[in-house]
Formats: sequence, structure tokens, C-alpha cells
Amino acid sequence: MYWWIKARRAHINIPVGLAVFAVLVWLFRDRLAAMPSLAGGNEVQLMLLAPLSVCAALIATLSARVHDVENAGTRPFARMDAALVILVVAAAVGIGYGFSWALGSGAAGAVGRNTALLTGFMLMCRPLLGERSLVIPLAWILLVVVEGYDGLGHPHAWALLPAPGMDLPVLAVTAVVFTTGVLLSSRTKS
Amino acid sequence: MKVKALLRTSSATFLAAPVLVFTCFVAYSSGSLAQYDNRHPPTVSAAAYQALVLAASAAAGCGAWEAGRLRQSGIWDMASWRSRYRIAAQRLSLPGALGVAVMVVMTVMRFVQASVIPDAASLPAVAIGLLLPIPYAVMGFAIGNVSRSPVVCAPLVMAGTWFFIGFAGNSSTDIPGTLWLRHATAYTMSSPEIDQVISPLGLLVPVLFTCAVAGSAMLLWGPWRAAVRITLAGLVAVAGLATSCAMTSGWGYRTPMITSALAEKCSNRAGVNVCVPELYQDMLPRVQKTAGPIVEHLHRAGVPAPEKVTYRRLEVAAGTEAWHIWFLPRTSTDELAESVAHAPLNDAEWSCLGRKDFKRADTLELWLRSTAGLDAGDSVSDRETVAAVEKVRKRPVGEQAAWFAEARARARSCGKAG
Amino acid sequence: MPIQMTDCWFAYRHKEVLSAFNYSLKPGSTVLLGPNGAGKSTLLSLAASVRRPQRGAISHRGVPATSRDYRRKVAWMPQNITAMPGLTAREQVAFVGWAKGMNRTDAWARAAVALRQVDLADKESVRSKTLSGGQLRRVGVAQALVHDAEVLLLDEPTAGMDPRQRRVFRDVLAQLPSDVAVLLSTHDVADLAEESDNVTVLDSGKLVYDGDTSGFLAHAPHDTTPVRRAEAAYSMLSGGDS
Repeated sequence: MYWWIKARRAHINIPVGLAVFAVLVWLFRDRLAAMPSLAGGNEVQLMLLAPLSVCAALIATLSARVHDVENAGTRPFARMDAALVILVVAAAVGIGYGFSWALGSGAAGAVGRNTALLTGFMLMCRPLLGERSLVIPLAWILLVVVEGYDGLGHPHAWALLPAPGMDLPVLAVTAVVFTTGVLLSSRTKS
Repeated sequence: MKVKALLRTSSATFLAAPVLVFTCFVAYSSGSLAQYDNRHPPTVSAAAYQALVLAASAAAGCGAWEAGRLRQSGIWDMASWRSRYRIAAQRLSLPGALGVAVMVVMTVMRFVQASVIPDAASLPAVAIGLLLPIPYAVMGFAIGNVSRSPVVCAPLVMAGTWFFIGFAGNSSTDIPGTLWLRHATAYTMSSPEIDQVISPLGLLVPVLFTCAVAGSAMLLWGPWRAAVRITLAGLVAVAGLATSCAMTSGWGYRTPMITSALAEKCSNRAGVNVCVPELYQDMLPRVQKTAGPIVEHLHRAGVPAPEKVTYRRLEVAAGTEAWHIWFLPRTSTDELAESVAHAPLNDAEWSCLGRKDFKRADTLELWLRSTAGLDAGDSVSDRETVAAVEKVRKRPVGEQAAWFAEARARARSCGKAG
Repeated sequence: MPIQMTDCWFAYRHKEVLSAFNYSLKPGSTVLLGPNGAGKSTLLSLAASVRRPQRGAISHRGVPATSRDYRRKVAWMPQNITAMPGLTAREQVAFVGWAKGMNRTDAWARAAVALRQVDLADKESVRSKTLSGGQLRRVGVAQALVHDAEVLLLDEPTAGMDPRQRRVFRDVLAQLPSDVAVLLSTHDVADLAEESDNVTVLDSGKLVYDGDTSGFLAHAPHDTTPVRRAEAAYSMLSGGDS
């Protein structure tokens, strides 16, 4: 397992990704930024960006698959990949809740859920796009920034990311998307 | 490389259409026109900086992609005759051009929407705005050069640039030492009033900041030994950042402006003297026609009539009792009337009264509006305030005048600062 | 039979490589020859269970290729050896052993033995990324030797090796237990001329020859060196492009 982690560079990618994530969560908190949008400009949560570092770390690790060895091997590499994804996302959720409790930040409380949601989207597209599937969470974030709010700055329901952390429908969608993504991704050999 | 081959192989070509279309949409989006629609070219050129976050992100992301592709292709391992700067510049030409194109589109659209032609005072801001995306392309290239995978790096660089500029443009004072980033990134360039232009220093700082970072990245590729390259790059980066930080240390939230005197045009008709900036002299009859009756109504209700009703940015001689109003060329008559009705107290006085007694401030505002014959509108909604105003209006004029005087005295008790 | 392929069909995105392909690997050492694009690497990767045929079945002594037991018993050296970033040569070989089902201790110990066999003992602590092409190929051979497989599938194992290293490689093959079957693809007919029991010639996904070495060499005149004779026989059977 140790050599597998090293071969996948998970011992570098994952800690760096989570560290950047933690720094961004601490830095962004509930801060808003005015961003150009189709509704005439909106104040957007900066925290929307934070999950991207975790997604990048995961896709870099999953894409570092040693095909020749893993395809011909007997170890359950697909399940190991799935376990890695779940552990990393769980860590992100923990970091989010930790900062939410320490800083009293509502956005930090939602960032773990958003990480799971965006990771799920990314993994669902991984069988088709491979490493390029990182553009999916990026595209979703930018879509929410430019079109996810109405003219009064209220987020649309479909945007999902700006919803409060304990919003039940969004949590349900997140659970379905994340589970589907992990299952689909574990069947791919790209 | 021929231009056709460059266009065919560059990432900027694929990104150009969606980015430019999105820029056009943003430029047309409702609500943004009012911010700069004052016929003052420097205001319009500053408004175009709204697109800088798009331009910089696109340029940086494409730069990172080009760097990753060059690295993967093994170009740097070949003993090329051309300098690496030349090779990099060729690949960066289109990402830089994309960033410039975004700024061109936004700038042109803003001037067209405002129906204004750029003048000499606005050209420096226009020029700086067009050129600022280029250092971001270089920075993206530098980051992409050290990454293993352009597929992962380029989207991160694009999103990171977008959010860095957004964060810098909105950093509040609760993170000590970060306010200077607001000026260094220029995304939230303050909007000049009609008697202002952006200070040259306000334009120089973003250039200094971005060029220092980009320049130090370029020095890292230099043909010298590693120790020399790193030292030079570090010195340039530190010098640029420290200078930017030092220059902005006393600026506060707003971009520094240079203010010059405004020429005014006044009405010579009988009744209240109304003055507007010469730039808006065509509006003088409408302002006069709107302000006159309102001043009259308020005076009859006990509000002392002003000697002058003038535009907010116009200077007034000391001791002159003046009401200051604010409007734009496309301000409706109703909005103009609201401004006049609001004018018996200036902004500082309203702010002071609001802090000391916000209920009195709400009541005073509603009383002025209703006495001037205007709708209550969105100004006040609670029944308590409406009832208080009705109670005041039932009093004799003398008592209303005293009530007003007392409120104004309270509003003036904070001093000139408000 | 070590490996049995029955009615196999494989295509890359509508480009058919093997169709209705039947093959039985014989005991001993078999050299696989064929022109570029004949399907040699595809055949080896199918036999290694790295790819699955769209139709047909592959088995080793009755064990289907889809099972983990099959993969444990079959070793594979691909045409391009990936240098795993961050791993030393020994770690890389041990990782392959572990991936093939060995426990960590055994994989670590056997990795050192395998590297010694390919004359890379002095490089075991060197990062794989810094090895030369020839050294990396020897690491690939070590990867195939680490887990005591019953079948060795080697794709151009001697490419990039100097004559001394080729000699070392042939000695390694000679020292393998007699019940280990080897199938190695090569462009160097000297590999065949030296020591091989069988020859398989593939052309455009079809078996052109599959038999013992003497039968293969019988296709060429006797009055020449073994290497030239092998080259002539190959040219006769395949049209000459290699």
C-alpha cells in the first residue's frame, strides 16, 4: 500500500491539496466578492473556490495510475481508489466543520458538502474525460458565479453550492452525486 | 511558427469565443450602466476594469496551458537556436492577445453605452487596462512551467486568478496588511466623479505589482546560474511588492484621485438659483423646473429656502446656504425630485442624524418627501414612522419649522465630518 | 498447456487486430516474431489479462484470465516500462510483486534478488526516473521475475540492451525452472538463434508459423550462419518487414 501511495504521488498531492484547502477556508470564511455576472454583478462567496484544490489533488492522484502494473495486478485497486476518494473528502468535510466551529463561519460549514458534490460531478465525468474532468467542477463554480444568482443577489435553487450547509435537499443531491461518481469512477481504468 | 498554425494550436483560440461572448453579456447586463453614465470619460474608462478579472483569468489559464504543452513536448530539452524567451513569447502572444481583446471589448462597449468619446484624461486608464492582462499571461506561464500536467494546472490557474483578484478587490480591513492588494489588482478601481481623474499613482501601482511578479518569473528562466537567477528574481519581486505596498499605505479603500475645479452654469431666472456643472448645462432647465416647486413647498412648510441649489461636486462660497443635489444625465425627473427633497441636509448631516436618532432621520426623510409632494416610495415602510409624520404635518407651520430646525441642529451636532 | 486462447477477437476502436484467434503457448521458451503492427503487443497484453478480448476466452491450465489466480501466475513485461516517480528501482520492483499478491516482506526481499539477476543490484536505491533506457528495461525484466510466475510474457525485453546485458538476460532465462513458459517478442532474431524452443510468427493478426525452432529454420538454407538463417526463414514466412 505504501508503494502504491508513493507511485501515485498521493503522499504529496493529497496533503498539499488539503493544506491549500484549509488555508483557503481559513482565508475566505464568509467573505464575499463582487464578480461579473449575467445578472449585472453579484456578491459571491469566495469559499466557492476552496473545493477545487481537493478536486485537483484527487484527479492528479487518480490519473497517476500505473496502468501496466495495476491492470495486471491482483490487488483491488479500484476499491483502493474509492477508499482514497472517500477518505480525502471526509477529511475536507472535517476541515470545513472544524473551521466553521472555530470561526463561526456558515460558508465553512457548507464547504465540505460542496467538496463532496463537486468531487462527485468530477468523478461522474472521469470515465469520459479522464484527467480533463477537473474542468467539470471548475465549470460548475464559474456557472454559479456568473448565473447562479438573481438580480437581487439571491442564489437560484439549482446552483446548490451557495445553499446553507444543512440544507437537506442539497445534502441529498450531494449524497447521490458523490456515490454515483465514486461508483462510476471505480469502474474506469483511465 | 506561422500565424495560422499558431491560431490552430493555441488554447486561446478555443477560449476566445465563449470568453468574448460572456464579456458582451456582462457589458449588457442591467444595472451596470448607472455606475458610469455621467458623460465623464475617465469614469467610463474606470468602469471597463470590471472585465479585468475575466481578462486576467483567461490570459493566465491559457498561459499555464501553453507552458505545460511546451514542457510536455520536450521543446526545452532541445538545444534551440532561438532564445527561450522568444519561444515563450510566441506561445504567449495569443493568451496575452485574448486578455487584451476582452478589455478592448469591454472598454468599447462601455464608451458606446455611455455615448462618450475617450478624451486625453481617460486614455492613461484605457491604455493601462488594455495592457494589464499581459503580465497575468506571463505569470500563468511561469506556474504552468513547473506543473506536471497542464490539464490540472491550467483550470486551477484560471480559477485561482479569478478568485485572487476577486478576493483582493474586496479584502476588508479585518485582514491586516492586505488592503494594498485592492489597489494592486485594480479590479475594483474607484469610479471618478465628474471633477476627478484617477491619479497616475493609482494606475502605476497595478502595473508595478503585476510587472514585478511577471518580471521575476521571467528572470527565473534566465541563462545564468541558479543562484544568480533566484537572487535577481527575488530582488525584483520583493522590490516591486514592497514599493506597491508602501505607495498604497495611506490610500485607504478608494483609489486616489486628482480633483480639479468644475465650471458651473447657473440659472439667471427669478426664484431659487440653480447651478449645474457645465458638462450638464443642457439639464439646467429640467433641474430648475423640478427644484423650484419643491423648494417652494418645503419653504412654505417651514424649511428655510436655500440661496442656491447646486450639484454636489460644485464648490460653494463659505457662508452660503446651499442645497446639494446629485444626478446623472439619464436620471428621471422623479429621481431628481427625490434628490432635491433630500437636499436640506447634506450627506454628513444625514449620516450623523441616522447614528444619533435613526427614527428621527426616517421621520424627517418621509416628512420632506410628503411635504414636497412626492410618493413615500421605498424610503419608509413602517406604520410608526408614517404615523409620526402625519402627526407633525398636522401641526401649524411654525411648529413644523421648529421641529425641522431642531432635527437639523441635531444633524449638525457631529461637526463637518458627520 | 500454459496459456490457451480460444476464438479471441480484439479491436481498438473498430480497428481489428485479432479475429477468431486461437493460440496455445507451448512449454519452454517461445520467440514471437512479426512485422510492426502484426499484433504482438496486443497478443501479449491479452495473455497478461491487461486487456480483455471482446470475444473469446483465455485461460492458463484451466484458470480463466478473468480471475486473480491467473494474474498471480502470469508475469508481464510491457513494451514501455514506466518509471514510477518517487520510487527507487527496488521499490518499483517490490511494488509490482505486491500488486501481484505477494506480501510486503516477501516482495521487498524478492525485489533485491530479481534486481541482482538482471545485474542491477548497484542501482536498487536509485530513483527509477534517473535510470537510463536500458536500465529501465532491465527493471522491467526484474518486475516480471519478482513473483515466481508460471508464465513470463516479455515484450521486446532486449531492446536498448548492450550485448553483455543481452547475455545476462539469456542466462536469466536459461536459469528459470523448466516448468516456466516464456513468450517473448523481439525484433532481434539473434534471440531466436541462440536459445529458443519454439517460434511463433504473427502477421496482420494471423498465425503464420507456430512450431518448434528447427521447423522454423527449415524454411531457410542450411549453408549460412544461424542468425542469417533465422532472418531468411523469417523473411520467407512474413514478407520480411520487421
